[in-house]
Amino acid sequence: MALDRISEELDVIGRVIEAKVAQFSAECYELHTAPDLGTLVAVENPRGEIYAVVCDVMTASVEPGRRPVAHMPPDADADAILEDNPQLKLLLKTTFEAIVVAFRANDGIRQHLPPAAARIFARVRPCSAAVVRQLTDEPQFLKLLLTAGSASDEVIAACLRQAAESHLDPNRFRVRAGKALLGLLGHDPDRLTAILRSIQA
Amino acid sequence: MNGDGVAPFGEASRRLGAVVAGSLTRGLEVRLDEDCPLEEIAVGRYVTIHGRQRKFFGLVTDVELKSLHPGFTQTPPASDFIREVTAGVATFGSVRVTLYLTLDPLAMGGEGDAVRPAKTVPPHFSSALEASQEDVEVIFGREDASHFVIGTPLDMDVSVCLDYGRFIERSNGVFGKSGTGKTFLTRMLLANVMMKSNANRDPKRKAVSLIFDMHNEYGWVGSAEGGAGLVKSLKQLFPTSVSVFTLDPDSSRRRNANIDGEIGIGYREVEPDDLSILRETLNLTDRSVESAYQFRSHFRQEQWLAKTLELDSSDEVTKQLLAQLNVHEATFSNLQRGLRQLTRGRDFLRPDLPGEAVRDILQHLLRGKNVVIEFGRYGDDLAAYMLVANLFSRRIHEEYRRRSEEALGDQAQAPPHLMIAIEEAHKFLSPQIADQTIFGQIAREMRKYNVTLLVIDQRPSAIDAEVMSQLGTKIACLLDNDADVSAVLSGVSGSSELRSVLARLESRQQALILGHSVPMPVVVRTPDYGTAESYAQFHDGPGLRERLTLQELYDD
Ligand SMILES: Nc1ncnc2c1ncn2[C@@H]1O[C@H](COP(=O)(O)OP(=O)(O)OP(=O)(O)O)[C@@H](O)[C@H]1O
Ligand SMILES: [Mg+2]
Repeated sequence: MALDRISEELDVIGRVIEAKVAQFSAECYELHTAPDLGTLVAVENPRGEIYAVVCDVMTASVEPGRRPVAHMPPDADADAILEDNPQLKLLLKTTFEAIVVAFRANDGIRQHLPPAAARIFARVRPCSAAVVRQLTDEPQFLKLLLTAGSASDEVIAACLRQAAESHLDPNRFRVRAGKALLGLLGHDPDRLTAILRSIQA
Repeated sequence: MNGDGVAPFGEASRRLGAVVAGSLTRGLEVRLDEDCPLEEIAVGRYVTIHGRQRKFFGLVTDVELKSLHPGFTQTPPASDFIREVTAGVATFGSVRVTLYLTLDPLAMGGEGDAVRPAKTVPPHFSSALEASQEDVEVIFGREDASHFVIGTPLDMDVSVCLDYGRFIERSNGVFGKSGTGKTFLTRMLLANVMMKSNANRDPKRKAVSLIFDMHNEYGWVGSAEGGAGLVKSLKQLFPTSVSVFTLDPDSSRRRNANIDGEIGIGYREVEPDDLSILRETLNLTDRSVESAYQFRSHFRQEQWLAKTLELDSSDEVTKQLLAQLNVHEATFSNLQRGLRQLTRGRDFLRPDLPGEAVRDILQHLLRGKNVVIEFGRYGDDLAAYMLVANLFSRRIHEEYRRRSEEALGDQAQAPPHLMIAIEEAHKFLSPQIADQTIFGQIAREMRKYNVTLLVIDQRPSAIDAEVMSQLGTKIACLLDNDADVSAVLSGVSGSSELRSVLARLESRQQALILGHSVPMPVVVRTPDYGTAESYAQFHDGPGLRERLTLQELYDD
């Protein structure tokens, strides 16, 4: 893997390794460097960046079906084990899944699915604060998250919690986002209140 | 056309929300916008709804809290944050707007027929706004030769006007429980009618009032609760257009009231018809009232009352007469006792009076003068009030009828329109006697002979339903009895919505006006009466010439 050649682009976290229109998997350059759950990420794309929300992270053996064996002595800590056995880093990988929620078209960001899936090996980086603000100002994309079977309400809450930090007035943002959710979950007050509880300051 | 339907109407007033459901008959449901302050939207407010081609005009008749899903209200939000999120979206305010009129902006500025009764509804999601002053003015008219101001709508600084022509055309009613301002309001109505009539040159548009002033409030001064104690009344404001007659000159003198004459009733003027409405008050049986007609035909009209009073049932001649008339002795003594009761202690009722009072009153009326009949100490004497009001009204009506029939075809010869004002109207118009009294007849025949009623009452439910339904304009102050509210609103479209409006009026100086002389029901605050400014708008000025020509026309 030609990791070092692009690692100068500091904020790049990984590359797409599997993609559908609505969802993709990416592999991180380094073990344990996946973005947090709910992070908005951008995927490079010649037809315009694709934006997605991280909905799951997995670290596992590179060879399917072969699990690492944890036979180290009880006093060794996890990081030290990896330091002492650098070959292990090559046998393991961290991947994450993301749900596509928007893309950049000629006339700006559109909060619906792009016409095509992300490309294999496309680079993935976290969205800039400006894009996060723009996307979450009127978070229509929440609908895509709610209907994507693979996203739990936890992902939505995590996404909104993170986004609040990019807004000048986080409280106002939370109320607005809450109302947007209400528009989608008005039929299910219990589910809605559970999410609202976990995004409130 | 402009897509949002708003631009053609010009200036913007505060948006309340959007029409989401409803019907013409049940009213529209307007979902309030998130930022619309629910607590400021009171029942009785005017709302303008911007449809695509026209504006709709209606009244807020209910305010309601709604929720998107019962779950939102079953467990109240646990935190301020959640309450803030759900407010206005999951839990929101909604108002019911009863539609009354449409305003066609294309026709506006031209002829007055731009305002029409609403016959359809605006489409979904049309914007509902607080009505602007301009809208209200277009609808209720500005004060002019044919409109007079009756008050201001709640929370607005514009005038609501009554259509003078329509007001005098039909019988009208002023209702409200005791102390709500009926008398003050009626006095203002009468004063305004005088102003308009005086200013009118067209004899067809002249009106005079005959006021049976039970509590001595319409003539020289009226009493006011608290503060000043006394307010100027009609004669002080219109010295030349108002004549005051009294049944009790002593009382007028004591009150320093300026009166134009004393009137009384001669025995010869009392008719058996007058007894029938006094039946209950005098404890007369049906039979004894019937027998009165027999005595009248036996003794003739001029003599019957005096002679019947003189009869002595123990003497033979009387016995023979009773037998001849086939009147039972018990019936006779019931009648005689009733007649004695009627004539005792009522000094205005005298055997010797020539019976010219009616002629005097009529002459004043025909000259375009308004007549107030003060009852003095007889004000609390219901029998006196009913006898006098019924007797005078009946005979004046007869005279009006005669003259109207003679003048048929020649409007200029017809007497000026007459409005008879009676307090405690339900005593004359109860279902049991409405068809026997002249008042029931006047209310029913409408304006046939140019005579209409202005009924003032605190118990409209005791008035015959048919009479109520004939009233053109009803002005209702606060009523808290359900039956009274129903009586006032029966036959009015949207009455269930108006109920809530009516029951929530303030206890004084607020009134709901409905009917013939307003384009839609309207709640007003009536102007303060009793200050120098309030007097200044009324004066006897114009119309002197008109009165002279009338005098020429009608003087016998
Ligand atoms: N327009 C007004 N301006 C000033 N004061 C008013 C007005 N209307 C009512 N009031 C006050 O309210 C009091 C009661 O009004 P009013 O005598 O007209 O009531 P009402 O309905 O005729 O009562 P009742 O049934 O006892 O005859 C008045 O004495 C006066 O003090
Ligand atoms: Mg009164």
